Amino acid sequence: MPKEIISSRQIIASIIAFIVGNSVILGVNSELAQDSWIALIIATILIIPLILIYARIIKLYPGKDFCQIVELLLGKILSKIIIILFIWYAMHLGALVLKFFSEFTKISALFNTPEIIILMTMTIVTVYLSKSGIEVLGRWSIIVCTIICFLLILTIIFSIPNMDFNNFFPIMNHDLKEILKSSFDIFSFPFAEIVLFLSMASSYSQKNNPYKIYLYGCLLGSIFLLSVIIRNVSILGVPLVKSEYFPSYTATRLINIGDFLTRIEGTITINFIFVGLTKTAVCLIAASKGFTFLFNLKDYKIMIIPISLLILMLATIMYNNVIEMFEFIPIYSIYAIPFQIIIPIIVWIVAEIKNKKE
Amino acid sequence: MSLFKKKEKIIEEKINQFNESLNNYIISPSLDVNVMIIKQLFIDNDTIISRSVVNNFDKSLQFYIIYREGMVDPTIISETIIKQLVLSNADISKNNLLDSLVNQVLITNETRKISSMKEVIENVCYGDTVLFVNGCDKALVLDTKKFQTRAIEEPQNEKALNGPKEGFNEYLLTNLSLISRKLKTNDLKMKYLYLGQKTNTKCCICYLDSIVNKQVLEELYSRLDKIDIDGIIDANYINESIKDSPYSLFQTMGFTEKPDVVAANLLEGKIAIIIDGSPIVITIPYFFVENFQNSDDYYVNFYYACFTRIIRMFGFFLAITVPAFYISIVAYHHEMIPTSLFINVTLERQSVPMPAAAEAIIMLLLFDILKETGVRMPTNIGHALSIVGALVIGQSAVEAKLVAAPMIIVVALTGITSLLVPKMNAGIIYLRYVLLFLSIILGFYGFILGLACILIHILNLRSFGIPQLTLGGKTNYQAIKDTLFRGPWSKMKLRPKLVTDNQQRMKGGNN
Amino acid sequence: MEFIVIVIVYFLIIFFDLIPMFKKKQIKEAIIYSVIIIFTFIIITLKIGGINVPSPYKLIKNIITSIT
Repeated sequence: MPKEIISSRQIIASIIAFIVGNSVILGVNSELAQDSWIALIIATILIIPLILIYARIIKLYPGKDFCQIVELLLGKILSKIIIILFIWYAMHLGALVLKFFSEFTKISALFNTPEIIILMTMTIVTVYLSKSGIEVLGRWSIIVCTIICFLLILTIIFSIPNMDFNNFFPIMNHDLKEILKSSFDIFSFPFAEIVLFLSMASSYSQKNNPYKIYLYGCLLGSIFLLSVIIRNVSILGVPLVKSEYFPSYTATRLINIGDFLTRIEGTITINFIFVGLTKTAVCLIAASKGFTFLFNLKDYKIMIIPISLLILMLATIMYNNVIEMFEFIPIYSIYAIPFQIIIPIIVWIVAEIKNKKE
Repeated sequence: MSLFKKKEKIIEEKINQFNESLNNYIISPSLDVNVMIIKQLFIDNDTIISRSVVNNFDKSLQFYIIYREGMVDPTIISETIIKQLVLSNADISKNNLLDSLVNQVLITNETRKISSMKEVIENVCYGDTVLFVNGCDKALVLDTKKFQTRAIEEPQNEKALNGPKEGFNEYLLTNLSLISRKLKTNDLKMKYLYLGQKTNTKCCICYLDSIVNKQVLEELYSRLDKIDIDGIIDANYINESIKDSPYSLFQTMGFTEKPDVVAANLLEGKIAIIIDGSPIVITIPYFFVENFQNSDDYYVNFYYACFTRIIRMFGFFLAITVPAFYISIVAYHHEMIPTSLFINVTLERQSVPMPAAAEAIIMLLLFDILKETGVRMPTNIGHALSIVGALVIGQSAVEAKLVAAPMIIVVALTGITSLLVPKMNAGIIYLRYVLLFLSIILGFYGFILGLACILIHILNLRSFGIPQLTLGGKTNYQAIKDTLFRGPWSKMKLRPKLVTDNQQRMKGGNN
Repeated sequence: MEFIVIVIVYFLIIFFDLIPMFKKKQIKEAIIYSVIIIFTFIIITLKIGGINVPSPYKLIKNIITSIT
């Protein structure tokens, strides 16, 4: 199988798409309303050591996938257990994104379509994207990143008449404990999901600097999120931001230029579809690579279709309705700790020890 | 099958085998054997003329010439071949018979030696004369071609406003001369090869040796070797045999009918394949942005070229998406367009009996039928047909409330914009309907997913191993100077990176 | 109606992917593939049919809430 290489720009673009991800529609975690930008900044500071750890793991073993690194460090049996956990996390995340997407589409546009059809069509396109390989995913991310940038700037410019910066006062209305909890939520969803990019590490070309890539990706992504927060809070105001399920969507609904350019929230769905595809495709590739490692198969592309079916199945049985889905978000930050933090730290520590020995 | 018919079949098979094995025969020194084989090979072929010639002064010098009437110049044959052979009294040594004939007797401009019957057949069929000499095991091929070919005129499909207006014609040597007039260097390599078992078509592969990408060249040769087809009539036969993605809607090899386009491509490091009998030349590798490029862009002011190029890209996008977008708005998402506009559209659609989807499909099909008839109709009924098209389908259908006026506008827009990018007409026709169906079933969401699928497919395309649409390498000016828009010539310092490593085109470009 | 769509999609998957795998003698991949396909088919059909399949979500929720 010829080696697929993606350039650093493409990785940065896909990291940005990943992070910006659901916030296009959902908005960033808006429990704190006017203080959520503080939580975002704290979350960005918190993520930096973690991504330095990820980058260090890649730098110590250049050209190898996460699965191969784990096998090198921890032996066969322990690595298989860790990879099983990794696969479960990737599939769960993919199912979460799919479910968000289908719920949003059902609520806002296609009321009568049975949800399995929506899920299935999205899955089909994701399978096509993943089967095309990592190179195509890289080029695709650049297009997606451009579209996100463009639409975000467009919506911000169009919403300027609606913005009211008084909504940001009073600052620091919440006490520190709440802010820290919220920043931890933002930290784990969406930032720390970058752990999935470790599984594509064999495609990073050797001369790329993984530190630079991850740092640029996360910083640019957090600038995006910051602008999203500013736009949402300044347009909607405190009570609306807290209570809406989809704050970004509602914020774009209010755009009204000269009575002509109204109701352009349909174009936001373009954004969401492309980003959702990217995110699910990365999860799918990560899970298939894990699977091929688990069963010693040769090529990860064979496993893409069955794993996509597994993700589809998970998406259908996971939640019964929208409310359960939104209840899951606070739990998610704690549930994801072992996958996002503990496993990489273990791998890193073992890698450093082995490195010191040599 | 009766016994008699079976015997006939066996005899036929044996004759076929005999004919085929005759092709492998080597020319024998004895003139009579050669004559007998030739008569057997070209039996039932009345256009092949053959005669024997004997020298006046030395009766032991016997010759036999064979040629095809209609394809040769009779004056050359009688003046330079037969006259010389009969009347020459030069001292010819019997050891190097052929060489002394070539050097001292024959005064044709090109002479070659061949040794197998297969080559005899090829050369006679193309218009050369073959000369057999008694006592030599090789024959001479003498260039006597003269046949009618089409004059050089401007190609219909690639009209240029400014710049050279020559186009290729069907004769290989004319086409090669058109190209080599533009690239007067010994770096331009032209290699012949023959394809097609029954047609024996002569093809020529051209490239500039110092710039070309050698890997693509090797890949091309290996793919051409694998072609096993009985005839090559047009460039498209080769195209479909060696394509990377044979079932894709988009082209992966470039077609052109103009020598200046070919010369510009060769200067960028691409390879050109010229085929005898076809005015279309193939260039590889082919990039996706070339669909939107026109040779005109480089001969006019670059601001104007920029604008027209962006219009073309936008036109392609419109050509695929307008019907689908219209249907998704009218049928599902009424809120996406401004309210006043939507009220007008709905008013127009009030009394139309069909649902918007059916209307769209029928109108699109009708427009495609109209376009196809326009291509093939004789000019004398042209006026009547255009009246039918415009008045009946456009005006009367709307007035009879069978079709809504916005639908006509949508269909007209699609049809016109699809003519902007003629190279992608296969893609546009199908993709239009595909996106329309997706939009009918799933609304705007289906439309966007369809666009995403098309985008993924385009990103997947490769032309001889080189990806067709590359993004995300260095996004500097040099990368997009010729793709999104056309930059001024003073800035076009480097050649496209993917095609070749030898990049510097002008002084001042540092790789 | 949804059931028909599901059946068609599974049939296409089996036809285009699984059978060539058996022909090419990639037995191990084919077995894993078929196991996953059968498993997901059963669960999705149950869910469409309306039977309440227990979801792991409740399990995770209980574990996490019992920790914090």
